[in-house]
Amino acid sequence: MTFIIALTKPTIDIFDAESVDDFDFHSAYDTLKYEAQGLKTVVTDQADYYDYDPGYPPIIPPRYYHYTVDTIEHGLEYIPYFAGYFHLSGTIACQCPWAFGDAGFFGYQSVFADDIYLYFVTHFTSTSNSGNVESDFSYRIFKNDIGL
Amino acid sequence: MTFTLDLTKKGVDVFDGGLTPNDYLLKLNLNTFKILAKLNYFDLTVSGNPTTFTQSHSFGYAPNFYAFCRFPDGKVAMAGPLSFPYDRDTRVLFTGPSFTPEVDSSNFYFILDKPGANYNVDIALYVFEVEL
Repeated sequence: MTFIIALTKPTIDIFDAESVDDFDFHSAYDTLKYEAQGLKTVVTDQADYYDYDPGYPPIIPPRYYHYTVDTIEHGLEYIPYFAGYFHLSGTIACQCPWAFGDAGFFGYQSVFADDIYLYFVTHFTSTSNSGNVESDFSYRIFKNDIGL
Repeated sequence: MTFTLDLTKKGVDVFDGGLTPNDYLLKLNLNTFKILAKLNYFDLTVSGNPTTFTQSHSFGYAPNFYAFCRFPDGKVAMAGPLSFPYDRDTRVLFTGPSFTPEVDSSNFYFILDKPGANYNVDIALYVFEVEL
């Protein structure tokens, strides 16, 4: 005999349930399970630019190329289901990867994973070769092994 | 009589009046995000620009889904533009491959650009409940 645990939504008789969405919980279906969540700020020292383009002044100003990767160790020893979001501003975040390009300038932010780390990548051009730029990310890690 | 079933995380008092959904392992009235299917694909060769891998399904509607792609550098990327490589030393800005999953009522489509030589990828697909 096979047993299941099934809980329907409050207004649905369990014997009338027809859709998986009628259940708040059903033991036949796996779910995403939280492992960790948090914020990660990646700091780019603009003095450490890796390339320079003189541009075409005064139309396109000189550009410095910046690329920074920072990590967190998730410690799961497999590649987990994960999600990453880049904070465009104090109130707006977008799902990674995020890419923008205009008039010779670009910005690219993304989050990658392997079986040890999450990698937070920020890659952009700016007109400055000094000072720090902070790229803020939010992340979610689930215990689910994606199997890769 | 109305029944409820609330299971809080270890260390959280289920009778605490100020709990948030994240304090519960399971709470009746909060639908769990059920996984209907999970599929993995290995060593798919991207040989055309773009290359589309198609997986049929029988849901009869376009389901909620998410997919990940592992590129030759070993890093797993979320779906979107410029997925590979993550290392800027070999990146060709704004011409790197993008990983674009799509779905309709019959198929999943995994679309990958090939700006240079052929390369192989692995893909993980999650299908969640509820029609898009």
